[in-house]
Amino acid sequence: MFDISFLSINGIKKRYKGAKTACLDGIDLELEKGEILVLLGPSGCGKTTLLKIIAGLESQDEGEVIVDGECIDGIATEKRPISMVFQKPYLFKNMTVFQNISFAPRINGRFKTKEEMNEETQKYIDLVKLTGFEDRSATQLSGGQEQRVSLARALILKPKLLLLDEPLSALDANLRVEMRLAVRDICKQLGQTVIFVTHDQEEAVAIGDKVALISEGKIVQCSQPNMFFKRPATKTVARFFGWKNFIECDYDGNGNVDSILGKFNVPDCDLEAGRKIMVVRPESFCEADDGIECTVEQISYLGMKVDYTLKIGDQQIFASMDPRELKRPGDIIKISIKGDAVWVVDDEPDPEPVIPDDVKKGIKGLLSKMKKKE
Amino acid sequence: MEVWKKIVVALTFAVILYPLLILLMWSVSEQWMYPNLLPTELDFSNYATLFNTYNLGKVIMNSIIISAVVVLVSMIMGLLPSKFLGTRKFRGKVAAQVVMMMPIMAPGIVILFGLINVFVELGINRTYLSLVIAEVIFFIPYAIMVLVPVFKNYDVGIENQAATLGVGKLSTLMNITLPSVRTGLVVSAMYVFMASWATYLAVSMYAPVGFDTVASLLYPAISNGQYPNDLLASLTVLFFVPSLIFLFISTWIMGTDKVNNRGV
Repeated sequence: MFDISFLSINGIKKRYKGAKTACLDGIDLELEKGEILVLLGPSGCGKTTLLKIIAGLESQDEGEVIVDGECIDGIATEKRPISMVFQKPYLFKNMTVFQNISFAPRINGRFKTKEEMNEETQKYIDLVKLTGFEDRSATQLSGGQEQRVSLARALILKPKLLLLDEPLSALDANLRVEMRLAVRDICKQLGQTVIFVTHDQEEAVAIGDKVALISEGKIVQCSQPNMFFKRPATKTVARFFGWKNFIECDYDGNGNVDSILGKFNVPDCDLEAGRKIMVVRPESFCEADDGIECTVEQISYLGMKVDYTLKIGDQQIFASMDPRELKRPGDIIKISIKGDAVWVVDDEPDPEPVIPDDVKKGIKGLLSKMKKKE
Repeated sequence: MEVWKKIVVALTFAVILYPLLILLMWSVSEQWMYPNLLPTELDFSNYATLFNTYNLGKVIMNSIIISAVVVLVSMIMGLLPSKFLGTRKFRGKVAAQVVMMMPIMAPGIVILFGLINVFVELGINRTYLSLVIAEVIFFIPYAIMVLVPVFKNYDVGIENQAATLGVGKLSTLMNITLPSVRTGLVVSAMYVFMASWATYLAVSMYAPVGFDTVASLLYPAISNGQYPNDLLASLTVLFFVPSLIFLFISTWIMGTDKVNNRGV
């Protein structure tokens, strides 16, 4: 008997007309019922396009989407067993909170009686903690309340799959933290299968059972959130998750690493032997009397910790440590790595800096103005 | 408000309202001779004459029915092109807009005269159908002209949202799209109604023989000079009444929309 996932996304490819590169380049994903998968990645990496393909708002060039054993490609958006919450709440402004939430199931004849409609709608209003706001106009809600209505409106349909496209990104920082906990709690309470899109790694690891990091249209790592902090799959993943130190090393293929910072053991690493990159998080360093001597280049005192830029030979090291004794630039400091908090990845070229189009236009404009003046 | 501003506002109102007031007083005066500032006696016999002798009740009804049908057809036909032009970006958009506005830009007689052969070929010349078609062709651009800017502020994302909630296209149109652009629709509909209400050319060319509207009665009456001024004034006042009603309706709707869209 084969294990069939609740959601299977197989080989999705998408290239927009006139685009030089593919927006999605062979995406494969599996998701079990009741799981929350977070699609994480920088702006423009293709995560929203993937969500739109699943929802039927975009069509893929290749690949298929299977939900609960049924291929949903070719099915109209409104007929798919999927609901979606967008970055903008898109509340129906001519309706109250109650009407917004009950609208879609009422139109689709999901309620047999008025009592059932009232009872069911009230249940979801209570679930998103909007009790008392039933008759409030959709135009008279705060940002957080709007997103709660939007979530309840999607959940009341009991979709097989719920898609959340950066639903919290328009909220202020405190509300975001509060809402991400609420979203996770509500979805877990209902056993709802969810795909959540965000570009915020903190949000991703707080909400997701699994996180898939997308870069340049490909999934570079899909795993439990903690693995991104322990076992990044590539240098890109490590960089995205705050690994700041990339140190050349020799790897023997049997879990042994030799680098400028010493010898370490990485037993789970399945790379082949050769010249690799050892990655270390800044907070994995500590001062140690028997540590390696480094020269302090820069200091940034942050109260509970100090961020150091250090140098060993030509290698720059970024360390974030408890301030034992505040050093000055030029001082010698001895450091070591706590435990075996290192990992090894293949080397890959550093990405070119991405300059947004509007900035490019601005620079071009400035240059042309300067030329004219000359 | 400062005194001089009050004077300017009062003068502006006076300039706008003066001709209307004169008409109104003419229409209800038996005698209004120099040097009296106001009519010496009120008299509604002009209105009675219009309704009894010239059967104005039926004529007003004709105008209302034809204008209402023209509004309905123009709005239905103008809605999708307006939405398309307002919400989409595509090559040749300006050209498409210019083509759609042709009936407004070209002299009315040119557009309307061009239709004669078509109607004769189809055997519908000088029927209610030919009148409605002629007016719709003429007034759809007016509907589009008002609706395109309305749809420029309309976010089609809300329709994607509705689709992902399992709401069909017709339900989305009726329950979400149309209420979202309600004010624009009302203004556009009133604009077309007023234009149709006031049109004389289309009625004179394509209406069934013997079919009159208020405009087709008023314009020749004024131009041939056979009718007394007080009778014409009464007809003109009646001709103006719908504008006044629609002005109040639109002000009220825009007011309620402002209240509904008030944020927290």
